[in-house]
Amino acid sequence: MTTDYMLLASTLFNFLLPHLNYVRGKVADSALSESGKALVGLLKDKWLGKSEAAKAVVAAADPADSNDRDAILAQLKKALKADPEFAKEAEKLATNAGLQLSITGDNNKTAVVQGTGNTVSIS
Amino acid sequence: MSPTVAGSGNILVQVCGDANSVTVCQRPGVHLWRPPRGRKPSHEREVLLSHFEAIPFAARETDLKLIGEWLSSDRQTSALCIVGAGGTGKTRLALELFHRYEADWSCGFITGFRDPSALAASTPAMDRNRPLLAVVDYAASHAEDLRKFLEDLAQYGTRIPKVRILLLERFADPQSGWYQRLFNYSQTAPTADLFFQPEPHLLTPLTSDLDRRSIFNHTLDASAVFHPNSTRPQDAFDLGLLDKPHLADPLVLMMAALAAWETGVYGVLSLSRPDLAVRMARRERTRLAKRSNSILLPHLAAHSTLSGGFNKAALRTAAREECESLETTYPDGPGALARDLADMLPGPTPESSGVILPDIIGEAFVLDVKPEGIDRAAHRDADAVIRTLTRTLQDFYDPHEVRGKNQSGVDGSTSVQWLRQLASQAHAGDVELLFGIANNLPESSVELAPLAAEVHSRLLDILSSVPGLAESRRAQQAALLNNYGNRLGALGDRKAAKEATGESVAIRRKLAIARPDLYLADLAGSLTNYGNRLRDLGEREAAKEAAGEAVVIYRKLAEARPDAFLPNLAKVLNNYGNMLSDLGEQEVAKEAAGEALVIRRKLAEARPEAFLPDLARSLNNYGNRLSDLGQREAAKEAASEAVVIRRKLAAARPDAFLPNLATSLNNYGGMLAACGEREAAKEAAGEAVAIYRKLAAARPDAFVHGLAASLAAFAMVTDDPRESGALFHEALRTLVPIFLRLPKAHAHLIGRIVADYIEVCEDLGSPLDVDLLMLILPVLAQLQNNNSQGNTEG
Repeated sequence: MTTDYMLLASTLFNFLLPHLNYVRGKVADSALSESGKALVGLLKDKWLGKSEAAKAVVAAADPADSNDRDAILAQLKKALKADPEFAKEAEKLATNAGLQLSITGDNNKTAVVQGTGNTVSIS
Repeated sequence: MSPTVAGSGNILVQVCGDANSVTVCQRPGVHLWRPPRGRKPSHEREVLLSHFEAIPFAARETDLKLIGEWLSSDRQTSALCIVGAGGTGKTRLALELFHRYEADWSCGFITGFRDPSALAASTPAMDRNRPLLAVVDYAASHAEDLRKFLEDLAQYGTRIPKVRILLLERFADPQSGWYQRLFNYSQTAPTADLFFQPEPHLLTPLTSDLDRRSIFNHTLDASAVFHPNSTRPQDAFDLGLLDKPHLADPLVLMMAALAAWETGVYGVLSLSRPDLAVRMARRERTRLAKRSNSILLPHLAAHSTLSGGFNKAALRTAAREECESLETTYPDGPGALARDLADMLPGPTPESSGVILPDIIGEAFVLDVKPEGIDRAAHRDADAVIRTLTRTLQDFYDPHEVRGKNQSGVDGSTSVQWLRQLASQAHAGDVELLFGIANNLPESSVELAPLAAEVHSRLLDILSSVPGLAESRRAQQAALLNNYGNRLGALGDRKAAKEATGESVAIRRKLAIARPDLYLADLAGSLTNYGNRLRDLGEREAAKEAAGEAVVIYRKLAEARPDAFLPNLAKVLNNYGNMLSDLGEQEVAKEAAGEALVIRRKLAEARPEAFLPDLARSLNNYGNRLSDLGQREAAKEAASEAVVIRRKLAAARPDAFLPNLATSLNNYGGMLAACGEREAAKEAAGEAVAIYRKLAAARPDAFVHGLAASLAAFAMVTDDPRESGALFHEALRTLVPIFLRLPKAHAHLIGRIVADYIEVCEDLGSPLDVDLLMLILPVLAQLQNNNSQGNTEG
């Protein structure tokens, strides 16, 4: 089965968002499962800590600039595509962490959320 | 009609015809007061009180020269504002003026503006044939009365040959807060014209060690009577201990001298102002405890100090209320408690007994005692309590321990908690209390911006729940929204800032349609801010439109009253130029910036003391516009002129103009680099960094952002990529702590520096400091997520 990089990127980014405080070392270790921790660590080492990802995050966070989440996702997708080992490992850890990756059918809209207090609107 | 009038001070109105409208205003009136001379301190703390004049007046030649020029100027009525932190000698300077000028002038402190009689009849000592020098101490606390008083003066004048109003306060900013509200540009009563100079004059610090020695030793002399069995402390000057920056305030030197009787000079001269004040406050507690061991005496002293003192009746009422609230009895009852306190703390006037002075010692006392029932104190006199708490946070709130390690254990953040508590408990009937807090929080503090924003938000909620607001309240609502937008902008909450300012524009537009004479200038002010808020969000076309509309209004107003409105027109033309430049309309942008420059050059020629700072700002901007057009040499020249002006201004008033000099140096460095003059560019940028390092060491809250920006600017002009990378890295490390506390406020700058840092690292092939980036990037990603959720909801 071929990897849908956009779906993988979106799933990983949505997983990462509620765990950004963990990345900053502000959340106790027990807040995440072992596979969750491994996935956060992988995303930090292989993506967020790299210059291209950092640039995309910086540009997207500036409301006077693009403020464009798609640019971050596109960058993550590019990083996954460029490093199949990274993509494979991320996919494996995501599955172990209980994240749903496979979608069948047309015109699907998906959201993957972990943690508490999240709001998802699909219109 | 030919009426006959006898007597003096009459106002006669004759009206002919139908449908006339007549308003008769009372002539400006004041209460004047002077402390009695020759009083001897009855205990040690009174040596510190300026009213006792326990030590000789210390050198103030620069300040006295300016005041002399002001007094002798040709104007009939004129005002001047002098600022200086608590304990720098403002009140003592006023007393010295009274002594020097009393032979020819009627002199005194204004203690109230409510006297309906004419100014000339305000005090028996005043002779209407002599000029008047009236001093308003704590001017911010009288701002509203003062504004009306100045309007009356501007409109009606007086029969006194000359009137001079001297305002004394800790801070005054012509662009915001209490001082700005005094400036009324209306056609009927333009108070702005009354001011000798719009910029407040900062009291000169005591730089000479000999002056400091004189104050220290005279304080020892004056207090020796209270230490008959102690050995006189050594001469601090001989020991070389008087060169520390915090000893530039007379009060600090005096408190240190009193403390030296107990512990010798070595320890006390390194103690900070707050620590010395706490020592004095604890001595006061001990003194009170000698009268009574009851907790009620210090408790009531703290309440009274919070309220700025009580008259006899109010002190009795407060004593009774506090006994009941604490369910504690005082020997011989509440009446005895009130009498004991009045006896121990008589106060400078009969209206203010029970108050511990000087202010900083009273504030330390309140923080040390931590009296229960702040809400009760606010219920008695909300304005006074808010003013005391605001002063307390200015003197003691030091989250970064800039003033040195807090050795006293007294926590200044308690004052912030009390203000927050008062704000959160406020209900619809407490509008004035909330206005008091909103107006008293210093706008320069980013740390206090969240509290200010909370208070503004609460006030706006209350005002918006009132149906059919009166015109004056709607005008207040618009002003609040405008200020709220500025506070939110400072916090980096750009969307909310735009919404608030936009709402202010909408209200002021309606008001201006109905009453253009009163509200058109306010509308232009809000439009100017709205343009800036839109620009922050990248809404460039809309920003240009808002600023353009403000230009049209100010141009019209300036035609009618150039003195009042040309400065505003120049300001908004500058902004308009920036916005046109954002849209790539470089030629028109240069034209707008050039027009602003021409106006400001003329204004600065006529009144350099008032308009040179604006001229430097315009030169900076104009230089940028020239640079946009590739006219590098001309751009460099403009930036260089700005540096020369700001260097002069900073030499005279470093506190006010050093940050601006650093900004100009950064700009100039960029221009020099663009012209290939790398060494000179590095020199300019390096000087800017050195300035900001000093400023940030003194006030991180206000200047760490500027330090990081100047480090990044330095990195841009250096030709050594390794040095550049190290500077960007230092800029990030400098900025991260305050970014993590208030992410939105610093996100734009830190984002720019991260991007530049990454680029340099990539060029060098050197590894990124991932640990540092992992502190920043997750927060930026969260901000992006919050922004995009906000966008979806909108």
